[in-house]
Amino acid sequence: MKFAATLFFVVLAVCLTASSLSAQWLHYRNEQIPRTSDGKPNLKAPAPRTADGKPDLSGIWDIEHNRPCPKEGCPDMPVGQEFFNIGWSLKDGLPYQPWAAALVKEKTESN
Amino acid sequence: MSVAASPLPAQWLHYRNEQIPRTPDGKPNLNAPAPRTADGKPDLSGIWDIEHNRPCPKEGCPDMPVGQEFFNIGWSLKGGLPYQPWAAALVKERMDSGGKDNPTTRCLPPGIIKMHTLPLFRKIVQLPGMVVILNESNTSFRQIFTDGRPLPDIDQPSVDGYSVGKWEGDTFVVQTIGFTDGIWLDTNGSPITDAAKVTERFRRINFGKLEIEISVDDPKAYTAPWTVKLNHFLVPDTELLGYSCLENEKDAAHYVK
Repeated sequence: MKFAATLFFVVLAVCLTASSLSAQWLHYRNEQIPRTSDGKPNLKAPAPRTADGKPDLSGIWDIEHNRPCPKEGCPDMPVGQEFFNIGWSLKDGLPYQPWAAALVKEKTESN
Repeated sequence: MSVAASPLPAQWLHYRNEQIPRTPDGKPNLNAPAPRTADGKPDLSGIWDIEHNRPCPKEGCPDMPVGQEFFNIGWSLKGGLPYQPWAAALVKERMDSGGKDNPTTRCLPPGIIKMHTLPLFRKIVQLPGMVVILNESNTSFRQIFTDGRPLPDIDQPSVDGYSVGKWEGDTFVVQTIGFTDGIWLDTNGSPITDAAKVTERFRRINFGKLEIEISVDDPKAYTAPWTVKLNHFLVPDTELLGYSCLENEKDAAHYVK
């Protein structure tokens, strides 16, 4: 949780001080990406395949931004629900052993 | 470490790589010709170690010995590196102060040149359009684009800069620009500036040997361009380990203030 706390403050600092972080990534037009008629990437096009016919997983990927922004506004680098709780999508949460549940409680409370 | 630890090489996994040519007794034939990719280019892929060209101290060899270039990247140059006066003074100051501000001793990234001298392994993966170097050091990576793109205008310099590569015959030529200030090329503290252009020429001499010629053109820090040559050697039948410099790090508290 020290890491989470550190990251929280890093994220907070980024939110408060930095200009839009997404502007920091280079722009490089990838000619391998299918385009719509207006030249935008067609991300609904079929998955590409390698020469041996397997789906090609190559690419730069981002997380799913499935966590609502706090009321004070969205941070520049928002995290998803699973960043905080990897079992977030499970109905009853993660099936911890008792010692693991106690450990998670302790870590959460000391954050 | 040399006193307390068991031999470090024993920590790497053993994985028999069936792509490696063998002698009749089953040992890797590191003198076999360099492999080639489907397009006929030499294939630089593999796990590589530095050249261990530094004699062991009289008290014994460390588990993870470094080479001469780790301390002085210009070790092989007759007159040493052609520092500008301010750079010579800076190196003297850094050496006199015991290298206390050396980025790598504080777990910061070493940059592409110092990375070539670290005793941790690196794995080259040669792909269509890109060569990737996976470093054990802080489990980090470097991308060298080979898809024909030009070097970009750099508006955000970085420790590794931005690299593009192309083949000139059997030599893989990589150009890199866009460095931040504050990088140490070696443990002596040889600097590099945002004006630097680095050219690396990779030649796989045979299956087991990779030659890397590094040319630095940085008129802010050096009075003339300079070139050094490093040798790397294939490490067969293993895989990289994960390594985090900050994990269990206990040295920083004892550094000279």
